[in-house]
Amino acid sequence: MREFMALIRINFLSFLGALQKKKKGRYVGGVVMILFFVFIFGGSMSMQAVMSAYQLVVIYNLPRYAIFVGIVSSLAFSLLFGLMRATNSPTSKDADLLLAMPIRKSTVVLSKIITQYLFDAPILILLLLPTMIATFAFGGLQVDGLLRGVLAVLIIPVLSLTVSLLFGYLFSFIRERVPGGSIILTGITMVILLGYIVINMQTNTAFMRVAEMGPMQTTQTIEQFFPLRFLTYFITDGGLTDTVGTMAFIFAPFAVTLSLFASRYGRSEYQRRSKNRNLNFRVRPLRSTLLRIELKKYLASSLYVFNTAFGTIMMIAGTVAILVMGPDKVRSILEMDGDLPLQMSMSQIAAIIAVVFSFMGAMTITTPASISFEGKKFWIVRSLPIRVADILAAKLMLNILLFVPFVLICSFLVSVRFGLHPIEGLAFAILPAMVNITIAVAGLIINLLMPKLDWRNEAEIIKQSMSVMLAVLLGFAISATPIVMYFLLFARFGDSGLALAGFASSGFLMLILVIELLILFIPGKKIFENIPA
Amino acid sequence: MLQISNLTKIYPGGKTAVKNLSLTVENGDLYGFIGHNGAGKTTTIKSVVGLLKFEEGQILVDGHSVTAEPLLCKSMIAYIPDTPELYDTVTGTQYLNFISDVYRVSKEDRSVRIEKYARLLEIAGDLNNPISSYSHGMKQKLSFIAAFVHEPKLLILDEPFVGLDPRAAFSVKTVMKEFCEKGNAIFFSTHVLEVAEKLCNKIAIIKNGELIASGDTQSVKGDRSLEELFLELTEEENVVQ
Repeated sequence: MREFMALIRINFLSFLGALQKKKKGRYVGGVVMILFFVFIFGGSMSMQAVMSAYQLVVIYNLPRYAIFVGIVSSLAFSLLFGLMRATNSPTSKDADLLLAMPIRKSTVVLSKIITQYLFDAPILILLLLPTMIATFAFGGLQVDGLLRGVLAVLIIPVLSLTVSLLFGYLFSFIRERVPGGSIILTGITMVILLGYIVINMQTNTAFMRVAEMGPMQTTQTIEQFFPLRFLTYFITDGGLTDTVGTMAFIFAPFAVTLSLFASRYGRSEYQRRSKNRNLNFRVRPLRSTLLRIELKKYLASSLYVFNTAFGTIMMIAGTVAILVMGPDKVRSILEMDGDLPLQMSMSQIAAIIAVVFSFMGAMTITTPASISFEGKKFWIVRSLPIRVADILAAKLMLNILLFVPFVLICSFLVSVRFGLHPIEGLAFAILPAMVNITIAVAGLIINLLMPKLDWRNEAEIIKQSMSVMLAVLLGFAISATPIVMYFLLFARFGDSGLALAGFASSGFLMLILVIELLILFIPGKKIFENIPA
Repeated sequence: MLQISNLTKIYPGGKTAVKNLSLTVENGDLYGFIGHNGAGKTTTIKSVVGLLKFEEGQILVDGHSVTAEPLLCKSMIAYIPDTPELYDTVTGTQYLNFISDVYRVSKEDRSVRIEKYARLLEIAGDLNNPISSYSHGMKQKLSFIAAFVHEPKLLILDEPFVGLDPRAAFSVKTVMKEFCEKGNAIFFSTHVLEVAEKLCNKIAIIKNGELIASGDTQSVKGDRSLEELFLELTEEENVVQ
């Protein structure tokens, strides 16, 4: 027990130590930002849960179904969370150190599992607990049901843990043994995330439709989802069968995964070796070789690709959907099948799509982490006779290539499908491209001012860094430029004003871009040279 | 080839890592830089290579200032750190191609040099494998090949023999001697005093950021072994020039 607590303690101290390394201001800022996002995210999810519980318990009088819907939502998120966690390699860098000590392997393994649970559980608990409390508050649960609900909330994150460990090893297998494994893996995780979003959107509507059909239909629905039936009835009724079923559903797969994790813990990673002995020497121009290295580093990190290329993937998927559905169907969706008292023109719809593409451009930014991503390898570019401008340009070019060519093609296709005037089409194509480029340069400047080269886990710089958070916020603000422009200056011109707003916004962003580039390549250059390697 | 004059480096927080350090590495020198842990060796080396800014002093590489003409100086230098963190996700060949492209080494030259040094260091069969599969010693070897592929004038090495097997260490020493015999220079830090004693024609000993001995190896150590001298000097505040 003593060793176990010591191991848990050192895991937390390592985490806290990584935070405390930052300068005080940045540490406080980082914590504030994280709390802000947690409150925003947690707040919005809690609101949604409360509203759903109110509708189902108070309006439809379906308390059991309310619990079921809450469980489905949070389970789906738990699975997604586990899958995203799994994109990180499951191997532990301190395995050799810990296993060389007089501590049982089972104790070490358990400490790792418990630490991961303690880190992951809070956000998952934040999703389901409001449903339980709201259902209880609205009279859908008794006190014992609430207590069982709280217990269920505490054990559901174990499923997320199971998924992250199991798929972590599957993903490692793909990454290590399959040529191009990292890219394949990134593709798989993108498909999973897209699938989650699509299914989540449809299931929310579907669940409400089932509620409208009455208690018999909702009971049937609960019965169809066999393992979740146990969880639902465990919370609402607490019967023996349901309790045993719940524990088996949660802990049986966990036990299997835990034994797999324990058996593989401390083993060396498989190293794929090439059978090709021919050395291929190919000369490339400097800029091309720099870009190539940037691309290779980027594609090798599933987490980096997953977190930054998502905007492009969504945009392409959205474009395909728009092309397939056609303008009339898109209009009908936007007008909510006539529920909204609107009649949108094609120009208005195209403008909305352009703004949405702009927001996706704001999501597709690699630059806020690109200098930090060098990490301990930063000495390589710093010690070589490469102009700083070329290094920065390569990082920028990677970001631009990830989005701009795609948005131009997607915008062109949407313009043709919607039958827009070429001038309008041009306005709606340039805008998201300009948004992306402007944010990319801004992101690079931000990362120059806030580099973090001493990271141990990619997630520290790709998801948790102040640089990325600031760039994302700035990105959303910049994406809103055309909306502000239109309503402030061009609304009186009607549909013509939309294209004018597009061009004006692009012009404004071009001006910002020029200033940014001056900052990047003049004082930015000196800042880069002063970053210790 | 390398002239360091009154180099002073103070880290944020007030720690003076190097204080008023001056030394000169001539063409043909195999210059050993010796000191205890935390003495300031790596700080000095990183300042020469341009990885760290320094507060006072001047560093000239072949007469050119590293602060005023960094690209020119870097084009003449090859640097190998003590723990060579390389791009794990590329193969050895791809990494060498990248370095060769940066230094504009022709296809023929890089082919000849890489194959020569890869055979010498017995790593030719691993160059098509990802660097993530390399051991520390293999990364060191790859770093050496990357250093020699563009034929620098000045080689800056930080603990170059760590992780090398005896055969590779012997090969590296042979190559280093040949390198200096061609009129180039090597400036390297080491803890292995026997190597410094046998290999280097000049040495400098640094203690707590200050140079306490420098010059021709034989003159500096006299009748004592380098180990004896080092222990004596790092115990007392003696300065030998």
